[in-house]
Amino acid sequence: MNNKKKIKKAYLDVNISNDLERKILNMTVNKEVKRTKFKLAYLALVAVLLTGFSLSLVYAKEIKEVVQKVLSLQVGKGDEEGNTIKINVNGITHDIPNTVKRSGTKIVEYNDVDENGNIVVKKLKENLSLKRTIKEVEKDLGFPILKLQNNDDNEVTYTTGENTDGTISSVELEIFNFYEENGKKCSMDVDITDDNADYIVTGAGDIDVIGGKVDEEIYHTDTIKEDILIYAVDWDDSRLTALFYHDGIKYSLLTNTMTRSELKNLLDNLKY
Amino acid sequence: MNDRFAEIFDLYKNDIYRLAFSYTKNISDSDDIVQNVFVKLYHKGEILEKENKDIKKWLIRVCINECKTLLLSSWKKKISFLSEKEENIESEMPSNDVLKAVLELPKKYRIVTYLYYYEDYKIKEIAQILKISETNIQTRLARARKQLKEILKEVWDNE
Repeated sequence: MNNKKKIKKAYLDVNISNDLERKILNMTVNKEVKRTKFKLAYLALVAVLLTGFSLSLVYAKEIKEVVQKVLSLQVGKGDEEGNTIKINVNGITHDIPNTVKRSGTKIVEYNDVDENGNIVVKKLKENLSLKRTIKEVEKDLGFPILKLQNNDDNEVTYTTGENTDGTISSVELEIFNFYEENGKKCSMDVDITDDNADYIVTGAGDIDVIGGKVDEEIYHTDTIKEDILIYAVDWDDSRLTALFYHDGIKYSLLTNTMTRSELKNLLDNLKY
Repeated sequence: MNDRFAEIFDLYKNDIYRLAFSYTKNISDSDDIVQNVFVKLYHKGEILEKENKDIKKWLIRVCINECKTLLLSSWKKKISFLSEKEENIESEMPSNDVLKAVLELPKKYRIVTYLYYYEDYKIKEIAQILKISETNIQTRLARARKQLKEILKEVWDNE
């Protein structure tokens, strides 16, 4: 018996209980659907909703355009054969000097199985990370990143990526304590992809785009003159994310303690 | 919609339960997670219109999100009752050696192991589901295999 079969067999001991199965079915399919007795009120509600619908269509189109732009980095540049495919979206890459400090790599060996079931030993280059400050990173990059007043010395987790020829492909920054005051906290991820990157480090992290992005909103901030996508997720009541590009650099701010208006206020205070 | 929901529930209830258990190693938490996942599915009629394989990917993704949320929200509670909880986990550990070894892996290796070995997803698909790079998945799998070999010795075949 091969390893896959052993694991499949082992999991057969773990099953949903009959009680839980009944409970879920009772909460859903067996639930009685209450018929509304207020048909007139219902029709009036539909009329109001239809009026709002035409307005929301225009708004939805605007949201879709911004979503397509800010999430485009999640599409890899390389095709299945590893050939480079340039992304035809403007403003999502930035020139990174090839002299920037490298966070380093290590070679990891692993066994893979090819299409015919043969075992193939492969080697991978895994990116390492360094702890630096915003000020150090800006000096090294030769261009500024958006920040808040007086947080130049905040600690940054700095990770570089390399093209197959060893040139720089990306710089990823994670700033966990980007904002912290009176119990309100916000982290910020910065993804910089070089103009000549032959693949993309998505940097998408845990941002969920399948499980339920809800309450999407486009917020325009005059200070950096950008449209910013703000959204919540349906699996965490307190979580808010703001995503945008500025000067070809992707920024994502994430908070579990701030309200939408507080997050917008923070976005208004971003500057070089 | 009820028939379609019942069909999907019947098809995937145990798979989603096994994934939740792989993540939490706890029956009570797994029960809560599976319940939340399927109630969410029931309220998302548009998901039920998709093909089964796409619904399953959606269920897996939502299940992982639920696992993360539950573990984060109950972190303090778990710390307070750590000793009591450890006893419970011990009592809920299965007797099967292979499963026990999988559950001994660190969480990030457990989930990848489950999706690769149990669900038969390819590395590319796992990367899409978990939203992390294929390189990262390959590394996690390699480390998981190494640890499983160390724990299971001759029971685990060299790959």
